[in-house]
Amino acid sequence: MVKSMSDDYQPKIIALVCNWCTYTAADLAGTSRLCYPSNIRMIRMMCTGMIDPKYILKAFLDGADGVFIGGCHPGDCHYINGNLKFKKRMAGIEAIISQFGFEEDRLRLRWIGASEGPEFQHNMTDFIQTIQNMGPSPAKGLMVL
Amino acid sequence: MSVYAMVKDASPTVAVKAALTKLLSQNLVDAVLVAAKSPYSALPMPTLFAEASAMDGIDPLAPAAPFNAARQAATVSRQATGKRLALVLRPCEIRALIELVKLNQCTLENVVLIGIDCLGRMENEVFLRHASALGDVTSEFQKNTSLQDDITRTCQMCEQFEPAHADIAMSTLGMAENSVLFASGSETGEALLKELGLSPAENPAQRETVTKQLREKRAACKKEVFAETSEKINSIEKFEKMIGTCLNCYNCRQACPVCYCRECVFLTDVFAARPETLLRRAQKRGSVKLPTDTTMFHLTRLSHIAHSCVGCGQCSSVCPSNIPVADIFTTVAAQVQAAYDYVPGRDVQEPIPYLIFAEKQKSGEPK
Amino acid sequence: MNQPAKIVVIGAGISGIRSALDLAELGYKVCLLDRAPAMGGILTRLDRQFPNNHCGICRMLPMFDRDNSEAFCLRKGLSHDNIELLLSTEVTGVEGNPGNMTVTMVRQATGVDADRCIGCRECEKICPVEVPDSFNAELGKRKAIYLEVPYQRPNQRVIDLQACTRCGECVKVCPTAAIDLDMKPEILTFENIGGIVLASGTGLFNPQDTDVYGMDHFPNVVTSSAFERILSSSGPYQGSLMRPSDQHPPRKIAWIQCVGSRNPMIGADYCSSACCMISIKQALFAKERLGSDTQTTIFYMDMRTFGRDYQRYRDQAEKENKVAFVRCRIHSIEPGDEEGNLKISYVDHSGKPVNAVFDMAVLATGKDPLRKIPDFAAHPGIIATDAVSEWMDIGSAVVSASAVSERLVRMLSSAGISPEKQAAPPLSDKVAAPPHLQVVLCSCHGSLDKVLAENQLAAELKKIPGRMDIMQVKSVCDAEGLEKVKETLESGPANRLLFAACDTQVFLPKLRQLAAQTGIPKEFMDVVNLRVLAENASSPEVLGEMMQQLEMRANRLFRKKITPTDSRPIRKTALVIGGGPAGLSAALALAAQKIKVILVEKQETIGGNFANIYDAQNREMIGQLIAEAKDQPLITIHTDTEVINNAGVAGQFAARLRDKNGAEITILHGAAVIATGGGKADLPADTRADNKIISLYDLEAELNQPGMDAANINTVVFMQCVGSREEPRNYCSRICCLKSLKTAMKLKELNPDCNISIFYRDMMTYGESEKFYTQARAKGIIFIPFEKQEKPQIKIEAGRVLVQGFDPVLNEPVCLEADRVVLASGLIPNPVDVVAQAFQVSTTRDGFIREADSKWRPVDTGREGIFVCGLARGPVRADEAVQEGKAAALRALRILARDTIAASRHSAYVRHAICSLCERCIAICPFDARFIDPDLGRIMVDPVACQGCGLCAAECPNGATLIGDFEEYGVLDEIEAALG
Repeated sequence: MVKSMSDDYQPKIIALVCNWCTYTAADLAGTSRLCYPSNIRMIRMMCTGMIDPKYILKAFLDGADGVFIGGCHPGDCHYINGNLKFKKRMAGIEAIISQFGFEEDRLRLRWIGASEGPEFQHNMTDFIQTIQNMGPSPAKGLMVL
Repeated sequence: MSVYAMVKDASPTVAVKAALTKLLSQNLVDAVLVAAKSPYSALPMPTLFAEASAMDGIDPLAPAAPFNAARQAATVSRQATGKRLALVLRPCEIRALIELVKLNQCTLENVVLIGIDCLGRMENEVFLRHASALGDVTSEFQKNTSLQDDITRTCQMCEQFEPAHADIAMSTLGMAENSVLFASGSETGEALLKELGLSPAENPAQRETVTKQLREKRAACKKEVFAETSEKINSIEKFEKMIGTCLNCYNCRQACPVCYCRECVFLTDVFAARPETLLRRAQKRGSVKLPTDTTMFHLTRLSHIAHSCVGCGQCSSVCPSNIPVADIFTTVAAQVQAAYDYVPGRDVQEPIPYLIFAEKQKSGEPK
Repeated sequence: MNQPAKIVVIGAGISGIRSALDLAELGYKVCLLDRAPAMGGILTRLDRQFPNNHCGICRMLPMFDRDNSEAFCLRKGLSHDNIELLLSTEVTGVEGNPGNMTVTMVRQATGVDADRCIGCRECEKICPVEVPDSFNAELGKRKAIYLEVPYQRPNQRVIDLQACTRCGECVKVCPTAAIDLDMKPEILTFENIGGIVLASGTGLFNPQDTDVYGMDHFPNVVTSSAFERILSSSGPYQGSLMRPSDQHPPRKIAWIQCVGSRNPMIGADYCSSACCMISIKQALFAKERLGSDTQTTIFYMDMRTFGRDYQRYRDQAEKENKVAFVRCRIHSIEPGDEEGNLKISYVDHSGKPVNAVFDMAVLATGKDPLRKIPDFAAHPGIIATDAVSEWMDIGSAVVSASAVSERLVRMLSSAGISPEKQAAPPLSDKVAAPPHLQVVLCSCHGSLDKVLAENQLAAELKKIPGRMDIMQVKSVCDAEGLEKVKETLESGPANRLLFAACDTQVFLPKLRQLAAQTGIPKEFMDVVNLRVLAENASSPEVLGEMMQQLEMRANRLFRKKITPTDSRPIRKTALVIGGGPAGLSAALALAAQKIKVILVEKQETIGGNFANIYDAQNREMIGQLIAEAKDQPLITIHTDTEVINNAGVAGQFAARLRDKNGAEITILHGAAVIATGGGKADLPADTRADNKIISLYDLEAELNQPGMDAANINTVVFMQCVGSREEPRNYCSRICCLKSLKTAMKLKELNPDCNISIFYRDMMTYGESEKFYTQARAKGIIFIPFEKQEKPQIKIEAGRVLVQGFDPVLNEPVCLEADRVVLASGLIPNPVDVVAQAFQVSTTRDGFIREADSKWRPVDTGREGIFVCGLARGPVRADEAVQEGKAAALRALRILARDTIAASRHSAYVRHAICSLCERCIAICPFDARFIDPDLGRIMVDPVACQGCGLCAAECPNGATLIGDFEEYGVLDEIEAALG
């Protein structure tokens, strides 16, 4: 279930989630009436390993206040180890975006298993809270060439 | 490996030329790739020589390099041909070549890497200006420290001016005037030095002092550039100001030795926006600057090559808008390389960082 | 009657799903039914499985030809074009003969019309009746109208008619009029059924039936399945490990093994096989959740860690994680001094009585002894999986289910039934035209009319650039509404479809149906859950939210393309390596399906360990396999031959064989089954001091000599686990305990006065073989347990052979003089280096070939088209090896039964013109699905092995490789819309 945040600042979050685990958890959170904020735009990926750095860069440059990535726990990946391969890739992306003034906390990777509806909800709420505390992304409202 | 031989009483260029000529004429190698002047310009271009007699114009120590020649080196070593090649390269070119080997763009099979001490290169127009005034810039450059200050900004911050991984290293730093030290870095190099009949020598003691001093100077410069650049790009808005004049010409990617794609993704359908999308974007944001995806291009290119960036500075040199691309790339690359504990060109056996990952990791990120 | 016969699979648990998928992948139409209102059985209640504590349920799904099925977690359900799922349904009668049977079923009234329910849960919100939640072991509450399994998709509710008070509130709020409290059970008759798989499971023992552990009075005594729910995030406490009485985290937890198992008093003279490992896993999770200082104690009789990697799992739990293992049978649980605590009294290893207090106790329950196999099970044409009569771990259940699928397929082909040749439905010509989107706004029976109108959504939608038509329908749940959409798609110009309606997953079957009818691929269709957004109708952002979601999906749809898919012809020849029971059974199973088999045997004869097998049943079974294989014209046998190399991809392999003279030939095949087997381990050198000390194999051979006289064998001491279950051979060989029992009893038969003692660590008589243990004890055979660090010692004094040990029952040392000391030395695999290298498959540290996943893909290897079975994979009994051979054959048949295999639409493809051949994609591919074609100098994608995970595309810097249905430009446009 989705609810709107009442505060004035409405962060925009892109969530790239793995089809197998986190997406199932998100669905479960939905059917279990676990509220999480509506300003999350979820995009289903088959695997976190499918996430191209371009997606994350694009999201930040288009004004996302945060990018959340949810994948299977290590060992649970449908594609054996796509999640770990993404984790490796992510270290580089973090190093890059942080140089351009995007705080590292705006990009978050979490492992959320299929049955972890409450964890999904908790993670979303917590991420939104973190982003709200941080304030808008430096690219927000900016004309990005 | 460290077999030393000294050639004295000849200008470094002459000594190098003599050695390379011998390699070719004694059929120790089948061809040599080395920077050489053409009859039309003093600017040395990577040139492939198969005849010793054609080698007159070679000028590998010239403080000019219109290319990072790793690309050209990779072109001639794309696959093993059965012929033995000597590639005379600057240290940054060797590092880039090693990255290209890892990326399967070329092979070191039957390749002799010959490296030189690199005191830096000048921007092309600076070099040509000096050339028209001085004639032989190369010799003058070796001894004239004020000329040496005319090298590019990126060269001024380069600490890796000694040729690592070369089969044969040709050194001038810390040597007496008109002497060159030949050192072998491998069994291949050692065998070739013997064939060349050079007399054994000691590594002169002052070489270490000289290189150390230079490294310190360069490190200080690098620190300064990094600090300055970090400050200039530490918000996306500041970065936009830096790249406000970018033309999306992609020269930087063309000049980059490790940007190895046959066609850049920014020229493919992946970034070919539908007109509808552009109109919609303009509608939503009020306006859209064309060509689009300028920032995206630079950041994506960073995500593609930052780990392999060897800091050659060619991207800055070719930028028609004088954007200090190399400052940005080297500054960010340092962070990425630190994150992966990866040094480009360090080891040809070391895979690029994305292809190695820990099989076993604790479940769950910190909550 | 021209319709090919269907198959009915009874029970949609692990076995049923495996079998249904096996058959569906071979092209058979399957009805998969379950009496529960949700599929999945125990699967849905398990989060993680031993021995790696991971989850991999989804690995059961089809690996290729994936366009036929939906890819999502199996907890949600199963969607395959060839599988019809019938829930809340039971078989009541079976008639006819294999090949043409009639099955009668009754579908229970659920009170909710599944075709109309959209899972909006309005009914559940209003329902006033609360009952204990059966999904969560009754530790929580649910409503009378409820969702059986919280993940279940479509998430259609059912009514618990026993709990329902018929107040009618739900009927009033249902927006789709899906609820009918007067719904009657429905009798369904299926004719033209080819065969039936019975996979209904064994049920789960309920300790309340024979309440010795006080489950009724002690809330903190729970079953292992309840503990599984307590551990789960979707469980009653959202994954916080708490005890039920006061919802505090327990500090001391006890596990009591064999509750309802190994208990002839209640008719349970069997071992449930998996409970020991489950308890270890649960203890490890308890420590992980609550901290390593949590005390976990497992009370057991024998710790049955008989699986290949299980002993190390136990050792690690004991040594590194400090899980305590106490060997004793707990007779009862008493209340502790503090509220909720439990007192457990036992005698420890040193014979000292101990009163221990625990915060919580877990009863390790297994098979239900009261569960009856249905009467119709014996009807010809019905084949039952082993999991109907035995409780077993997932890997064994999966093997058994595939073996049953193989038997069924064999039965069908002898009845002349083959699967329907399925041509992929042709794509509409419109697909190639420029994108044109049809948006369908569903007003959900008018309930969304207001939201749609107030927000002028239709008008807003027009702002989304691109060719688009918009229509509004009253309900796409009705056949009428869906028909209208279909007609519009057929008659209009649109070639993309976007529903603005409700739960995406409710729509998946509808999209599949529309795709089949209109020739527009389902990848060109999508759904936005408008309903969930509309629930916020008061919020001013709702229009923006709706628009953004719609634009995201629209953008993606506009960029979708159908990419040309490669198709590969299949070489319909199988290569089987190893002519033992596993290999022979695989070869025969394949040959039965008209597949040519090349059987390669390293020895000079086939049969494997046949010469050493004395068990009459096994001898007959293997003897028959040997004879059949020799007679089968489709099987070519190469003895004295090895496979030294193999190249190619699934469906098109070339292998190099070398005979003992060094002559080499190349053979072409489509799939290989590795069954290189194993054999008896030699006795350790230091045990060969006297000829009275012999191996178990020697004694077995001796006793089976014709005219054997055992009169002078008067005292025999058996010793188990010699050289095994400790490093370096730290695995259970699985056959020795049963073999020792059988041999000991044979000896008793030959010489009833013979004194027999068996020193053992843990008697591994799992499953039904427990009966032999019971019988052996009844025959007066003495069993003396020992621990690894206190092995009995063999002494030779003046020609006498003595065994000195410690008897914990007598609590004193024992010294036995023996005529024979019989050592069970176990099994070792045959060397697999050459074969593993040739087929590029990985091996375990003990030299077995590693399967792709021990639970979910037990006979697959990491390389598609290469399968493994029998002793090559791990210790097994001969009958188990035969089962594995069949299962491996069935897996191979998925490939070999086809003429061609085409790439699934959701697969990687390469755009050679811009490919720089850096080969990073090859390095990162987890399925070895990419390779360089040396002739073309191009990167190729193996359409069979590629799973569409997208690692290659993310690794490729310039989009030279893309993933069908997840092309980068589409995803980038979707991101843009999400942030617009």
